[in-house]
Amino acid sequence: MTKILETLGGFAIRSIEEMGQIMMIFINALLWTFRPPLRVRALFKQMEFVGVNSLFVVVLTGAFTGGVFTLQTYHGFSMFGAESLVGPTVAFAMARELGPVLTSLMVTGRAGSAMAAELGTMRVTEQIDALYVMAANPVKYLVVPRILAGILMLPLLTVLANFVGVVGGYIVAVHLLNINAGLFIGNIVEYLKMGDILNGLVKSAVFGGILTLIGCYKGFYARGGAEGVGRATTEAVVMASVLILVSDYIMTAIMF
Amino acid sequence: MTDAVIQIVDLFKSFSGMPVLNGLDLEIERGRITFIIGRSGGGKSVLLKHIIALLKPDSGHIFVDGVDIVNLSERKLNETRRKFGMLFQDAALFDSMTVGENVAFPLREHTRLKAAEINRLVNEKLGLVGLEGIDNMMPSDISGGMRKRVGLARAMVLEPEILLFDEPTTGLDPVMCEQVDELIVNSQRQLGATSIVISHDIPATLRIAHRVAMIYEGRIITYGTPEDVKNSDDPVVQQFLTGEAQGPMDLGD
Repeated sequence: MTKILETLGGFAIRSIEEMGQIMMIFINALLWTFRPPLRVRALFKQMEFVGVNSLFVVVLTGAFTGGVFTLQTYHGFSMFGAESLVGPTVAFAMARELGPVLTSLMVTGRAGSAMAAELGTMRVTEQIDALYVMAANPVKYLVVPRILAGILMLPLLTVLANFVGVVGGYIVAVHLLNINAGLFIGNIVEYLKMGDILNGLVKSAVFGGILTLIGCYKGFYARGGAEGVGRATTEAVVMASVLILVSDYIMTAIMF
Repeated sequence: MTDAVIQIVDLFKSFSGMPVLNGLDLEIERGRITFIIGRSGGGKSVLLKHIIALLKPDSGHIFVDGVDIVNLSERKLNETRRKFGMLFQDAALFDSMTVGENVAFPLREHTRLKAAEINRLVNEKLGLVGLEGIDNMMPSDISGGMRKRVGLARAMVLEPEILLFDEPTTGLDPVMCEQVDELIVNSQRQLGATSIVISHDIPATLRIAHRVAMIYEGRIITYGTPEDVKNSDDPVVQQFLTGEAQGPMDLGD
């Protein structure tokens, strides 16, 4: 019995400690964001890395998600003759949920993990120490551009995923399932509100912040050579994914 | 009283219960070359990292030019750190930057020099370590010894008052060792820099050091001129200098 309590207590202490460290690095990054000079070159480099280099995987994810969601919705809706509502349902789902969440999860796997690995390697090879020694704050130099890039690029990627998702749905609906094209598009225009899209974009900006913050945090505190860097990378992906899903529920409950 | 640029007072540090520094006291004299010797894993690098505030001691004080850096705010700390240049044990070059950008980094951060002037200084410093013309290569494409020399150029590019060297000659060929030793001597002679060098090269230590300090079991057990250290009657010091496997030194587990 005491053993169980001990384990639970240890887990709680470690969790609180970890939350504290994440908050510290977040607050630090926030403060350094508004202290000049802004490192424009580093920021653009990260925006390219998070955004441009994720285009292919995001387009692929969006297209197939829209397509398969159309298939599934049609399967259900055709039972009571509501095929004309397949279009708006797919568009709703993409804009409010699937676009932001799936894009963020893909970028977590691609960029969040890479950030943890890169910063982790810099930590274990003393490059982060070298930054401190040269009086260049590593949070400003490494963490701020990454988090900003995440917050700026995720909404853009999400817009793209939404669009491609609807296009994928359109192809499946119109060309495979013989739904009337005018009905598919017309009902999307009729029912989908700007607010649905905007809420999804706000979420994706938050997710972008989360996945870069966690990637940087895990890398920044990596320890123990190559093994430690590997562990940091895995933990970054798991933790960021979980946080994205949990915060998604909380934000949805508040916003809709 | 001598002019001490760094004073370390009663420094304690342990890592997960294992004491590494155990009430260490040391004064580093201004404008001198001080060598720190001692067993591998004996706390030499840890001491160096305390001097530049990369590590926080469990207790004790470190004064740099009379300012206690142990509980300094980051802004104040950065002012102090600008007096330093440091060569890390494995050079710690930024692997996302070219060799030239690495050496230029301190200049870009802390000066407003024009690009042409920065280039000139970078090439000059790379020339000093015998590496002119490699500024466009990446750190991963050059040998460990070359990386170390680039690290040396980066540490010296701002011509700081205090230079910290963590094993500057380990892994270099004998000729290069000689050149690096000469570089340390010259930076002291020409710029009046204070140098703190961690080394396992006993002959070089006895040849170029002004002061030698030996760490043993978390304390400085001997400090003085190379002559003093050579003539020390401490059996541990004698065993270390001669490199005998048998003797009073506790080799641990």
